[in-house]
Amino acid sequence: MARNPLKDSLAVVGVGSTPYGRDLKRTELSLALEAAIGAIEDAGIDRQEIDGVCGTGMDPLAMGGSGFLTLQGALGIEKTTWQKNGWLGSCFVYAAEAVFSGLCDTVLVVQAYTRGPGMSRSAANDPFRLRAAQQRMAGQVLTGQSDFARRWIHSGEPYAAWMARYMHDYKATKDAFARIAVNNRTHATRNPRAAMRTPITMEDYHASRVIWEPMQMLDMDVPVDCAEALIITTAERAMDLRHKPVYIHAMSLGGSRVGEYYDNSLGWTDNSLWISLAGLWERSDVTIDDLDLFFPYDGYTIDTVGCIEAAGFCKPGEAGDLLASSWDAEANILRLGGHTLLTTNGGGLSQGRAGGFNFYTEAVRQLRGAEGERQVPDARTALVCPGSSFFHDPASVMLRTD
Amino acid sequence: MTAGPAAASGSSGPAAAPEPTRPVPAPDERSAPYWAAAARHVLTVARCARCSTYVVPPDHTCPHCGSTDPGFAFEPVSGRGTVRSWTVVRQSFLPGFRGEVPFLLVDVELAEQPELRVIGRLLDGPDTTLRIGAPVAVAFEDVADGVSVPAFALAEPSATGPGEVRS
Ligand SMILES: [Zn+2]
Repeated sequence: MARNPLKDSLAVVGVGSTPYGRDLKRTELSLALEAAIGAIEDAGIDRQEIDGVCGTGMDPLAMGGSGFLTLQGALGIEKTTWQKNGWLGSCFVYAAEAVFSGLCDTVLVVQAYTRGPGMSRSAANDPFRLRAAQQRMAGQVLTGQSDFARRWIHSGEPYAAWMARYMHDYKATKDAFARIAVNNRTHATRNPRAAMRTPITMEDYHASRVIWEPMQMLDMDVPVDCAEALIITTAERAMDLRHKPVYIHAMSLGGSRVGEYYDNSLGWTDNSLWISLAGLWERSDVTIDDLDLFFPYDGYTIDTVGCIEAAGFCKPGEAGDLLASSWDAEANILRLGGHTLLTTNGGGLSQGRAGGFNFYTEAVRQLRGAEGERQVPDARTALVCPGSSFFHDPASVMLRTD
Repeated sequence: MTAGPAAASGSSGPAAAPEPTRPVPAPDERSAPYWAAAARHVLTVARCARCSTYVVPPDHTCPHCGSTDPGFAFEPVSGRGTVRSWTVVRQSFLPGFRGEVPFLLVDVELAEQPELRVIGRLLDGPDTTLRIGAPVAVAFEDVADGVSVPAFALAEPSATGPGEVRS
């Protein structure tokens, strides 16, 4: 086992979420503030108790972005002793680190996502694609010494190549991917926040438009306007607050020798996703057999397959068989090992793209146990794996409640 | 409106702008020899002066021997290799490529060295029947005056080349 001095010493005490929509006609900052205020009110604390802020670092601060500088000012928080911009899954980990280390006591974490205006195709809003688009719009071209490998595959196409390679190496069929898409959509039909709530079938998946062979429309997450926020504080302080504390039991990031983009030429089981989950299990007393809820990243369904295998639900290459045997045909959802439910909010594929951050807020709500007809009975543990694309920023976080 | 491409450009938005054409390479100091060779229809790959390993892309250190002074130099390679994976791009999300679809991208492992991978279009076209391990050879697209972009085309199996790619 690895060291884990922070085990259960921190808790998530507030969550806030905006509606999800294909075009809410709102700035990123406005969405971020709505989620932030929701999280503060949910926690039932005075906003001046917040002394750490982690914002979203993707858009420039002065241009409607939701970085910590704009957030703190707009929320009227007088003093913070810790600030950072983060994104996708890792911002949660940074914020927890800050509370654990004593740099602050109560931290607000906000993740806003908006579809890029003027991009005619909705899925053009991947952070990498957006960054590239901004460079181009600013009159720059994609250039530099490191572009030899990257130039020709220019957005999400590497994932399609990974998917093709996975299907070849492990004789997998598209049904594995279809089950993930259908599972997430079925859960989304019961989630009032979800952007996509029309039920789909395996047949609908197979009939969906091919974007990058073999990847289809329903393999890809749904770009939306949205924001999510949460508040982390000490377990001690959490005992005095209104909600049942949701404890941060263990966390791990993941980094590999081969860092970014398609340069991730490492083997299927050597990339950072596997490193992050191995790091998590080395720090967690909760085992895979104890897991009630699992939120594997779903930017593309091939990410989800990787996450399921990296978490150890099956051996590499065996996800197709696992998902077939875990399929509850009556409910149209997956129950891994007959028990663990996957992505009960619909995830990026159906609630909408939030870089996996909506996994955290959904996990907290379910672990509190007050989600009404959506509530998973007796849910006490949740493994959240947001941003776990193969190459960038995977985080694995185990949340639990008493 | 929120920040993003339109705000960043200060323009009225891309919707009003003409559809951009496919971007062409813009060589910098380090990549100039690569593009100069490509213009002559020669594929080169950077090679570490310390350990002779081919590296794509050449960065500040050699990932094989760890040298911080790798003295990378572009050397001609055979251009032969095998398909490691591929995708057919049916829809492009980036301006400049929308008029190009569909096109087929191949991930090629070059014959010179295991795991030495280069990505390019397969010029046989998007309807080509492919299999992983299929032999390919470098080909070139002349995209502008004096500017050529390395790509690939299906080749006959080579007696000296690699066979089925390793898992
Ligand atoms: Zn070297």
